[in-house]
Amino acid sequence: MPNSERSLSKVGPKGWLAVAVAPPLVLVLLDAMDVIGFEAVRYLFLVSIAWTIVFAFVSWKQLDDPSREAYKFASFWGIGSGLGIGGLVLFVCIAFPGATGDLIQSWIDGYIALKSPASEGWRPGAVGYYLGIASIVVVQLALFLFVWLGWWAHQRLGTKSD
Amino acid sequence: MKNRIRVLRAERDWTQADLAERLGVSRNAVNSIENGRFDPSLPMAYRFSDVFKLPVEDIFPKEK
Repeated sequence: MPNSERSLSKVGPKGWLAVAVAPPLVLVLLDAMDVIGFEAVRYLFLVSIAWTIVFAFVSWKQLDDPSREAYKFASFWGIGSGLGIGGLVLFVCIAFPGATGDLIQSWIDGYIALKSPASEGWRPGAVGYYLGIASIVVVQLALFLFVWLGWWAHQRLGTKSD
Repeated sequence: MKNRIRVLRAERDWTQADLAERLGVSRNAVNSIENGRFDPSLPMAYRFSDVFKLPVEDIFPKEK
């Protein structure tokens, strides 16, 4: 194994994954705590996405076969079903706007009030669109995690180890 | 897929963690393969072959 590969494997896939996701998580935290302001956060977040992609790739290269299979399985079934469920909820909201409209509008108004209402582009329609996409992504991520954990639980169920 | 990993490990007095270290994979990976929950890829099967110094078919015998 070349020296560069050996030094990469010392950190391990979990370590590299932590390196990959730490910056965006820290930025979300800083934004929530209003430490550096949304203006700085949004530019730093763009940089952190590139960082995350690079180190997620490094983490992926370190994974063994079953770990990769777990991610593939969770990507297909977790993210896929998240899209289906999110899409179904979206369809219900569109089909019955009277039942959900007020609630959704109050979320949008609340989010705009929380952020800088004077900022250019923070219009209810646009914010509603962003929140709509984000909510489906959140459902997909939650189901991805659920299926990933389920895959490993199934692997261990009734197995012998020492 | 049937395999003889548990027997081969026992002959060498290796734990799953020992084998995992020799293969360069996680202990969970060894556990999944040994218990027949996960079929290894061909490169992984060859790594088992290198570690046990046996042909692949002696570790993963053909099911009849």
